[in-house]
Amino acid sequence: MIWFGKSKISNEATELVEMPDGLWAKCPSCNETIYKKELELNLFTCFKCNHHFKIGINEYISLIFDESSFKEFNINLKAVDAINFIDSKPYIERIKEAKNKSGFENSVICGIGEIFSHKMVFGIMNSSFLEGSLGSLEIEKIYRSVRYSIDNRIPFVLLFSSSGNRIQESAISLMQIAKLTSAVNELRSEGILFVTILTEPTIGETAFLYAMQGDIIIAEPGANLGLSNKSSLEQKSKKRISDKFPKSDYYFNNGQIDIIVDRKQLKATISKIIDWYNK
Amino acid sequence: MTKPILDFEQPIVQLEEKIAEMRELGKAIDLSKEIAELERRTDNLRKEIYSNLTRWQRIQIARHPLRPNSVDYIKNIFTDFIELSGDRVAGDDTSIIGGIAKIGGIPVVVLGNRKTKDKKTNLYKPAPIPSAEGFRKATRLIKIAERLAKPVITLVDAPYNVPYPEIESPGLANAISNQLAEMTALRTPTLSVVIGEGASIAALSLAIADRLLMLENSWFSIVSPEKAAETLWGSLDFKEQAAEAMKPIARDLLDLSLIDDIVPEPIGGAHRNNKMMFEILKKKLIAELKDIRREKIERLLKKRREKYYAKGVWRE
Ligand SMILES: [Zn+2]
Repeated sequence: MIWFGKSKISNEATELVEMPDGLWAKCPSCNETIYKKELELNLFTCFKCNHHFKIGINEYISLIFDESSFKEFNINLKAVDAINFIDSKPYIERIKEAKNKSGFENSVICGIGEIFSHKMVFGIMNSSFLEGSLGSLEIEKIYRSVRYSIDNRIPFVLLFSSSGNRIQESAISLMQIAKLTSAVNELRSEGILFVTILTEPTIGETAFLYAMQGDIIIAEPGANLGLSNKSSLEQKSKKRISDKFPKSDYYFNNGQIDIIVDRKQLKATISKIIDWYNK
Repeated sequence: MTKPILDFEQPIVQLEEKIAEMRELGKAIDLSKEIAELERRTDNLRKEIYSNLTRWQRIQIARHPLRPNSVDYIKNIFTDFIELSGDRVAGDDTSIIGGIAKIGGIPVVVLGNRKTKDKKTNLYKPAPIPSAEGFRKATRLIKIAERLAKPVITLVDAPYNVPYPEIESPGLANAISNQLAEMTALRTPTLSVVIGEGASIAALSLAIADRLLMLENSWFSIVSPEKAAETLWGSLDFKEQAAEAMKPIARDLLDLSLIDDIVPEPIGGAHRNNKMMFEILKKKLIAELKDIRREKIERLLKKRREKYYAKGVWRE
């Protein structure tokens, strides 16, 4: 069984420390040397310590959805710089660079697909595109998916991978929180199921607050979660603090998350929830 | 106590002091001509300086320790205020002040960020980011307003101040999330005004409203210019450039249709004439309140939702 189809895994599994021969890789958590093909078959989780390697949008889509059932929405939406934002480079220039680097147009993909034949509207973030930060274009894509969910009474699932704010959109990006919160409120009042999946990383004010709005909140093991941005804290304190940074189990133990789900169980878990909802 | 003076205010303050001195002397000899001349010069200088403020300078005005804060506004433009406390779960966070009050005779629930006084200098410091208790208290108070059919007025003054992981309590995000959700769907008229700083979720959680106003020199954005400078320019030295690039001042937000109106300040900023500021804001709040109270609640909610759905820019 080929899990990931034609997608380029190596681009997105960024933590992978490759061995010189290109066939073997090292687990950053337990140092075990793993045969890359084997890692792929194990959905990029370590056999020995269950470390969940970061994977990308294509990998999640092929592991969650029935084969070739996923259809993307709104592929023609493009980012605009409303305030002519320039730091050391213009914002539009940074978007172009991110496109070239990641191969994606922006940091969110939304669409509809089937999971064990159940329909599901799905949004997924891409932390390799400007840290997975959410600008007004990305929120508009998610907003339209929520509308589609409401109009067609199909559950909405949003998978997070984001670690920054879209500072380049300043106040516009802050207002997006109100926009998406309004939309999620509508979803709730219409009785449509909303599930959030928190993967490595789900940090920063915007992402983590959206993540907390799910009816059911799922997290992958070992994912960095929280409102505070780790990299900026590290910058400030000039030392590595990632060990102290709260991960999935901290939030689970404190009652903020419903389930921590192994990647290998992710599809089965989501489909069970949707099956329960649809019955 | 020496008054804190912003550097660009210095020439004006000097002239004002000189005028005061001459007035004192003028009791003995006639200096009316000289005083009138100095006053004319001061007026011109005021106009010159204050009509050409940079965004960074306006942010300094927004943060001025003598700028009227939420407690001052509650005291001076509301009546019959009774402070309500506690989140009914874990405690009371005093960085949020809230209670029942009247404005122009209209009963409302009023909420705001509360600054703390520095014991040494006796000047106000920026309000800290509220804890989960603070956000839950805010939610509790707006739900009271909803149940008892009273409008909500919020006074936003939140600096950028993200909690460290060591102190980020596990329920904080949930408390903020709930507050945001309640503000978007609250079944009573809501009116918000950014009176100073409006940074990130601490500001937004009080600023989702049927009408969002900003005082002329206040600012509102996803992060502070300092944070943007550190993140995007790599150094705090670029904070002034960041402030320009972010376009976070009231005028910018109105131009981008992100807010509903600007509340003008006395020349030089609210701190130069508190009394006048109270009068201006009181009049504006009452007028806006009368306006939104006329709407049927279903229509108001629909308008509120659609207002936020329309925010953002993209092309297709
Ligand atoms: Zn391992």
